[in-house]
Amino acid sequence: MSHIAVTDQPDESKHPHSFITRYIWSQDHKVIAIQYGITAIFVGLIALLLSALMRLQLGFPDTFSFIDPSAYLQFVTMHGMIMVIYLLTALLLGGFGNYLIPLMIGARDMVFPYLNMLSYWTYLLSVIVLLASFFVVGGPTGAGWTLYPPQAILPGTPGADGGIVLMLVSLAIFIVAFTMGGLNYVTTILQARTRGMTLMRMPLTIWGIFIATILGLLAFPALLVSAIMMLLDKVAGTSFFMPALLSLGEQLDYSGGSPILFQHLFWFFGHPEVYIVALPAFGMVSDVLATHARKNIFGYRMMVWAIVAIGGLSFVVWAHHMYVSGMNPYFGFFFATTTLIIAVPTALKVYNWVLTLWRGNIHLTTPMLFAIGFIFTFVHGGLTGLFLGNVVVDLPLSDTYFVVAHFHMVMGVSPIMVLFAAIYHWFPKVTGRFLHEGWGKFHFWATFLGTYAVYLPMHYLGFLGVPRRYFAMGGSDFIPESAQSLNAGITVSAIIVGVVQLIFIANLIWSLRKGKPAGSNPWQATTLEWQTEHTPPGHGNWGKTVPVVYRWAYDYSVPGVKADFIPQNVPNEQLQYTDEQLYRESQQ
Amino acid sequence: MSVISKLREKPWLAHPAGMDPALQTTAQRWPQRTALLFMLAISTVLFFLFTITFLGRTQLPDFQALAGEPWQPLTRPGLLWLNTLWLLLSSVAMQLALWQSKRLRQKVSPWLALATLLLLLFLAGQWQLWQQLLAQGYALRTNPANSYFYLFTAVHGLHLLAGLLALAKVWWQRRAPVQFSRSLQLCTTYWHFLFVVWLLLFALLTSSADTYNTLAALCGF
Repeated sequence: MSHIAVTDQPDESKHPHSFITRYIWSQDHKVIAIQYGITAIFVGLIALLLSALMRLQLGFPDTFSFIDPSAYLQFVTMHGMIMVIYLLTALLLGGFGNYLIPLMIGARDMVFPYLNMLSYWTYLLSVIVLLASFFVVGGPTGAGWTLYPPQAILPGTPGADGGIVLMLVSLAIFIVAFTMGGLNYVTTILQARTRGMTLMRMPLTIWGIFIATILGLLAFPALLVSAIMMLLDKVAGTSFFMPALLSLGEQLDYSGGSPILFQHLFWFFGHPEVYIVALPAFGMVSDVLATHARKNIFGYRMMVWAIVAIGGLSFVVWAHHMYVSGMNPYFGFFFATTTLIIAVPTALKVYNWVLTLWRGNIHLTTPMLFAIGFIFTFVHGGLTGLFLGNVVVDLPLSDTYFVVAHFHMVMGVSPIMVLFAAIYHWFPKVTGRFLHEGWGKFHFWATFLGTYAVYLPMHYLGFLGVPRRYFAMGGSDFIPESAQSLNAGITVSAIIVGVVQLIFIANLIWSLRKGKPAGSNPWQATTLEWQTEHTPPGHGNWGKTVPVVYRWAYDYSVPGVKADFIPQNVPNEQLQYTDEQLYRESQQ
Repeated sequence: MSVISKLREKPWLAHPAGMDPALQTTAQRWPQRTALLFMLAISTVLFFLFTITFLGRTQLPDFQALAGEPWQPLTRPGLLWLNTLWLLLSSVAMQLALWQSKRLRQKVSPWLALATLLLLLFLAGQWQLWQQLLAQGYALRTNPANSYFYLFTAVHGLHLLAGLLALAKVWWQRRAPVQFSRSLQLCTTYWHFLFVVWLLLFALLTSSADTYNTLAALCGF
């Protein structure tokens, strides 16, 4: 009796047949991935709409009567929380992690398919609870996505009654969902790889997802702890985080708690969260770049080590989000130093992406355009991070639009660029059809240039000292009139970028039926997911036999070999060599 | 092969035909064990973070430790010692059940029943302690030390209840003896883990203010 799970057993009898077991209560990782993806994109569109409403107020103040200061703060909060957690984390790990892990490592499914299904439905529950907060009395919370106490749960902050409670409950449910999914991802990667798939033969996508999932499993507990304790402060009247304070002239029952404690907990989760989003993106962009440049990834081992190093370091930089909260100067020194150190492996990855392109046979397909666009936006956002990582530079820039510009470039636009690259790259595997190339290119240029039009001016606003999260500027002497026209320009660009995303959604729907048929390996890629018997892959992924891996994931343009790529499951004996190579061998 | 040497592998170099070490070995797979190790890591982080915030909170002026002085409720925690004994015996019973099942004997179920009973005794004892504290006026919100006491014991109790659920599921599958024994091994590990966690929590929650000050100083608070 062995413990080898479905991964090694081609059990034909267990294929689900009814519509419900196939598409609703499905335990197939590919269906679960699509469920995750659709749900995440759906809430992402809501968050996009919220950002448009925010921008309308900022660009054209006093024009829209339905946006009052409370509503504005609620838009800010929900936009941030949805984008970071319910869209990016869910789409990168729940969506792409689910879809790609078993296919790329040669497994038939996740090792715990039932748990995987449970993970999605729990995630959906957390989304429903989150969206329910729009409909309770007082609306959703407006505490800012960081939910700092004491203001988050005090009257005066919008949604301090029902909204914040639903938000905290929803986060706790999300963490349960993520933990169930995450246990599956790491266990599958460690235990269900096919024969020959050593750790160092895994595509970088899998490395990124693997380390990001470990970060998530170890960092989300910090959010859970802070959510539980804040919920108790709100509902049961404990004083974990709540200091003794007066509210509306009355002494509250709270005493002696520490809001700073919450900030430490929150950012102990919050900073790894940046890399939970970034590492899968790093991995996927590496594979897209190598495939479309027909060249092996430059410095594969360094890339893996950098992912591992970034993962480790991401746990010791959290307090750089708290320079203005007040802390021991030595702490500030320590966290500034670690922040600069984490830039080293990150920069190394950027160099390696650029060197992968160097003298590559670059195909400017839509996924490749997005991948190259990512290098630009990521370098841009990363460099401003170096500014903010230094205490003395951070102090004047903190809580200005410079910070907004920085984190939107580095963890908003950049992972989204990779997500688009990944969707255009893997859509042919998921559906068997290409996305429309012309619309895709239009989508890329409008998004790429549009996001620059949105975020580049924000850096200048930040230098001027325009504070973030403000409903209106008021009459501040240090902010010139022209800042308002800049704001109006940003708003127009943002709305254009938002509308362009609808074209992308239309492209997704249209291509599902009408897209150009793609065949099984349209990009001539080496990794295992492109070598499946059927496209889209059937239940169990591999037909009768699971593939055996003979090489690493990046055998592109190997000298002497006829084809410019060698799939991972092709042994040396089956290679076809060029005449030149055969002649050279016969001479030896 | 160690992790370091795995990470030093140069995957782009060709292996001579048939010599690829990775193709030869089929490592013994035990995904449930891997998943359990990660779960224990997650639980450890969870309790660690609660503990860190607890130590930070002890340094704020309104914190009144539950033990140390004669009039404080946990200075002589007789009931807690009794509960600890139940949990220890539950762990022992699990271990005995595991040994029985490894020798493929049929006497597993009585030991598992005993372990479950002892665990329920522990939980009942904790409940009784809660009632005692409440009766003495140590409510959840009256002091952060109380809040943490209820929080820690509740989180630990929920972990135990989850363990009981897992054990029930394992027991349901007892007809396949080898699989049963391996699953039982994971349950036993989880039991021992929660017993160790309990010992640490016990020590932490019944310490005096001086101990907290020392620990907090060591942590840099």
